Amino acid sequence: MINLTIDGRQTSVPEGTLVLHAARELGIDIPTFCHHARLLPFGACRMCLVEIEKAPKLQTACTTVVSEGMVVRTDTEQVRLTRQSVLEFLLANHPLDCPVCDKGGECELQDLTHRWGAPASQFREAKNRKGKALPFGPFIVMDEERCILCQRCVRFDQEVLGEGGIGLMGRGFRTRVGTFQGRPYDTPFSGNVVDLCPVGALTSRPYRFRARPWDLTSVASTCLHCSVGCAARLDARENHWVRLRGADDPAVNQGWLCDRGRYGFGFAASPERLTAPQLRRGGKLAATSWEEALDRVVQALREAGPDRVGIIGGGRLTDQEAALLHHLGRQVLGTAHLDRRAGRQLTATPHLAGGTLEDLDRAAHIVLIGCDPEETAPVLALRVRQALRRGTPVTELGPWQTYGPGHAWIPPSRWLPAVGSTATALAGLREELAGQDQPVVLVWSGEDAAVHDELARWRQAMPGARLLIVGDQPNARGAEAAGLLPGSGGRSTPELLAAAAAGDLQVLYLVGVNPALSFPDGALVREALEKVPFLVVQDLFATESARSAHALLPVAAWSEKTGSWSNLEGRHRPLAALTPAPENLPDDGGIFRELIRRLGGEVSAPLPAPAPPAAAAAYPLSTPPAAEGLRVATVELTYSGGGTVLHAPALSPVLPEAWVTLHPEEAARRDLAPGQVVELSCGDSRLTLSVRTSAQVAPGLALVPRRLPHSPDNLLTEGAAVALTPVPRKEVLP
Amino acid sequence: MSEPVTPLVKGLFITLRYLFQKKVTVQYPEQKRTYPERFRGRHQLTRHADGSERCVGCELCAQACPSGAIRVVAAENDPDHPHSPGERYGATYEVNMIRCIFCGFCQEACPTGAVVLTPFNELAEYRRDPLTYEKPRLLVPRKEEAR
Ligand code: SF4
Ligand code: SF4
Ligand code: SF4
Ligand code: SF4
Ligand code: FES
Repeated sequence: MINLTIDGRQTSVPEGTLVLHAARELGIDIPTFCHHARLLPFGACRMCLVEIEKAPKLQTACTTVVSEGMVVRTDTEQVRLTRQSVLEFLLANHPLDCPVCDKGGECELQDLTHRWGAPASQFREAKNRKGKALPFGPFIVMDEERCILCQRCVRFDQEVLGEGGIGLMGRGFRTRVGTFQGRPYDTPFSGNVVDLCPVGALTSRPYRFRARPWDLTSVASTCLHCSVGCAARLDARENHWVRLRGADDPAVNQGWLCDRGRYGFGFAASPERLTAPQLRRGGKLAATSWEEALDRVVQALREAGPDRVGIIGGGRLTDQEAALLHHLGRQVLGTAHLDRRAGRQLTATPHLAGGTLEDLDRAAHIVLIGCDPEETAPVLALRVRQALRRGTPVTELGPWQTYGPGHAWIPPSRWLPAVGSTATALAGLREELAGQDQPVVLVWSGEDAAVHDELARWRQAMPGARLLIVGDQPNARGAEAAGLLPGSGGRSTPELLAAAAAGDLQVLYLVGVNPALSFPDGALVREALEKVPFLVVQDLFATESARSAHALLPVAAWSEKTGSWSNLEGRHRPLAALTPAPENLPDDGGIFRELIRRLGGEVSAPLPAPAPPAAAAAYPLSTPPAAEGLRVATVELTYSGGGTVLHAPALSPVLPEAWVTLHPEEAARRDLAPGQVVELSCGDSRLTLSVRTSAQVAPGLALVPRRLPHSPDNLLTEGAAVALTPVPRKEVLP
Repeated sequence: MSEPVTPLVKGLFITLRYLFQKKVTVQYPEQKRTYPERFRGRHQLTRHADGSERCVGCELCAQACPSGAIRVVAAENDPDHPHSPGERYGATYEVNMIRCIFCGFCQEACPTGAVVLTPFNELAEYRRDPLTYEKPRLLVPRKEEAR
């Protein structure tokens, strides 16, 4: 411990503490601009200058480390005058356009000027003019005149993202913050620089001019767009959701958000949201009353009897709603045919020691198994990036490499028999690592039964190994904990769909899932949804799966309900309602409650806790035989899917187009150039896609994004041979 | 007996005296007064000399208003057809005249001199709704439109 005196008060703090933090611990406030708790000490703005005895000049509290016997003064006249002058300099060229600035009212420069600034400026010269309202990226607008060059944004980009996409340009009073070669700042984490910017230089396009801070009502909640569960503050103006900002949960997101979470909120106000229940009458869906719709559903459920009912979904519910759905299915309907899974994921619950996000910081080795966290769990990927910067070995097993070149990559997989399946590769890795008693963190997509079995062997071989499974839906883990998996004798999703296609199922109830896009066997799911005599779809939007629905039940969005859910670590995540649900829209739990009541069940007593599910069992997905030539592999993208992402207007500039990525050699062999349009044929299915090339895709693979509504990948059979035929370019008249 | 009569006579005398003095009331509405220029009556949103709107939608007037009578929603100017100079303008501007106490704080707060209180004060209506003045009624017409 180091003893020092600040403003006459004795304190002792651990070695290495910054003077700023020692003072804050005593409740002494030192104003700062460039300092940020999640960034390294920097010392750019000089706002935090304090007097330190025996130092000839004032020192920056945010970079000076305490030393024994140090005497610091923050309350002298000299310090006050210095703060005043620093502000005067910062404002010398500042446009003072607070009235039109989105930061006005919550601006650190405004606040500190009110507290410490001079009443008037001594500068009489004309102000330096720079760029205003410059497009900075798909979501960000830059006002260079407002920038105080604190470099928080630049440091975030370098220290946290490790990308180098933005930096200082020019010199002297012409210095400005710009993007690398003027390219759009389009990292999937770009919105964080808006949270970081202490002034209104970087502002969000979706929030532009929509509200002033004093108009907003906010709640502390979490982002329910993926299974990471970042802490967030949601802001609404006049009951319209206008903004989402990161909140610092040290164990989860450390203040950061990805752009999908941050800018995906527009779905809640989408005009395409369903507003009234619909029933199929004479071949057409028509709006009806809740009374009638629920009666019809109850009647169908009753008529079918427990064995001819199937319920799929639950990963978008809160834990409480999932428990209600489980109660409705198992107790009230008495069916064992419940399954939350609607895609390739077998399980979201680890079957060896479960890891935490913080385990990634301590890991001696990180293994990514068929999983690209940059796409499916972006904020988790920030910890992987940090680990890479620390030199932690990261091994990737999957059809494409994210962190390459230069990092270990064992390309796939069951599509490349020569290399061996992912499971074989994983077994090899296990043998390599066995005996080393090191914390290994495995990040898995939860797909591939062979990998599931192989991982079970890691439990004995490497007791230190920790497993994180990235859920394919945000609350996948909570839904499994609530028992939304087939019970004994129950049918899993593939079996339910097969039964429906075979005419062996009377009622299929889809809760917040869209198997028409997410289920790998597109032909089967389409047939099943067509054929099932009564299809109930409960969702926000009329999804692809709702096309042949007989009853369509709209629900409240996650920003409109309160409860809790479980992220991929199984960590409790709170959810708080920001705005009331549109009139006449219950939440999922409300529908379950009403169905239970109408079916003669009870919900008043606390629901019995479900027995831990026997996960991953019975999930038959067919794998095609190994084939020669080019084979299809699919990859999950951050912005794929037909649900909320598609209906958030702010995300439209970044929605993926339909592409197929080939290894450059494969493309060259076929005479295909990037950008060329090709028809990909696989069996009877055809997709029109544009070619991309990347050396980070395994040779022999045609990598196609998953779950694109306009180009559904599940029409192709993963692993099957495909042919690419160039589509002749249409003559374009000038 | 003089006791009760004296005040009565006094009062009558005052009445008589005022009867022959110059009148302070006017025959409203046939006759109208002119108010001082700085009288605080109905609001108006003014324009710059070039005809563009002064209001930038900053909501400072709404924030300054002690009775919460103003609602402003800003929007971004279309660079080809801007409403106001700069990036931002007031897309929605509403003053609830029933709530307004005509204190003039909004005018004082406005950084661009957009909202001003005019001497006009005949605001009576038969219904409440028209007493929420919206932007088209508040904004002074362009010169060419006024003609
Ligand atoms: S843009 Fe904002 S965060 Fe970046 S240097 Fe300027 S003031 Fe700092
Ligand atoms: S990482 Fe996931 S939880 Fe976090 S902001 Fe992005 S979508 Fe939301
Ligand atoms: S005059 Fe006063 S009360 Fe009326 S709108 Fe302006 S600030 Fe509000
Ligand atoms: S009238 Fe003035 S204060 Fe009110 S929003 Fe417009 S510019 Fe701002
Ligand atoms: S906060 Fe210390 S120099 Fe900026």
